[in-house]
Amino acid sequence: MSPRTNRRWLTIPTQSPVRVAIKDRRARSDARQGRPPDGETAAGSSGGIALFKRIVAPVVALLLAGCATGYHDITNPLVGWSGGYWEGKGPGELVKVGFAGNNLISKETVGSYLLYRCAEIAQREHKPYFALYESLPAAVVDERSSEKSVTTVTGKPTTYAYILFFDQAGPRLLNTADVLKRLEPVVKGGKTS
Amino acid sequence: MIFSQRMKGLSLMACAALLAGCAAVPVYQAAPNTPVARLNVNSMGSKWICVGAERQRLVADPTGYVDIPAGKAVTIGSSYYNYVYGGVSTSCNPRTTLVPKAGQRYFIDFEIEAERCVALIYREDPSTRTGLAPDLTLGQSAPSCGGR
Repeated sequence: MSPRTNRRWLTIPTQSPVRVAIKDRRARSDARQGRPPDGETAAGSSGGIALFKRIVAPVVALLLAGCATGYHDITNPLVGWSGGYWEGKGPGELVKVGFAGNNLISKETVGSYLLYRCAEIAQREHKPYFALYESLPAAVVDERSSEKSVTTVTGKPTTYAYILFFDQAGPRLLNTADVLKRLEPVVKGGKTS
Repeated sequence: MIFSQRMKGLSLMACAALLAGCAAVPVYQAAPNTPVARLNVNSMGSKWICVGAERQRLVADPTGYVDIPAGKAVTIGSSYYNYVYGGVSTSCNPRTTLVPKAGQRYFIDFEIEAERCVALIYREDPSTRTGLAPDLTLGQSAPSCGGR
């Protein structure tokens, strides 16, 4: 299947506009309009490859489209297209952690996945406690939270938080082991990487 | 096929126009012998400053900083085109205004949430774990050069 894409530009009415390019498979558009996929003429569309392009690939795509985002790395080449978790360092000692979901996952689940990922990172860094900040402004004034309220970007539940690690318990700090234990039932079963 | 070729032609023309537009935006140079602050522009996006109601590009020196005027309200913006966030491409053009203090270092970043993107500027403060401190001059009125 050709990797070429079509893009439609939408402008979302917001205080600060976010313009969105929605990528559609060129082949999907071609199929709707009765055109053969790129590089393939009507006369040359017979055979196993053509059968795959016309029947198997769309069926697989439809099956995949029915999946809510699972708990996995967004860079995962197999399932990252549906979203997942990501992280970035800074500013300072902060770590920015995000989770991007698709239209089939709830905001509550995205919030749980994000918090669980934050705890996983704290565990990876051998830190028993961490502070969760809903935004950079909250982190700068040390306004700690126990969870992150999830909103949408382009209609999909997508969120992020900043975390800071601690060796000792303190006011409004989250216990790494407790968070992992509490949210494991939510996350378990959907993890792919 | 004809439609496709026309689209290719239009796309090329649009790209050329955009590139020409980028090239036409002048690079900001702080006036000599005037007080300046330092702005960290290492975060994503193309940074710009509003000078006389006109956008000028902020280009970092090898240390990742650029001089900006101090002692008066300045509007700093950050433009993102085709930035992939959460699996979709987004573009936005946030800006903010502050009164930089001479010799102070500042950090600019942006955040996308709840269908909005905002530009954030803080004072750099190595004494804190975040490396940042709030800047109370944010939100001062100044020429906007477009954007929000």
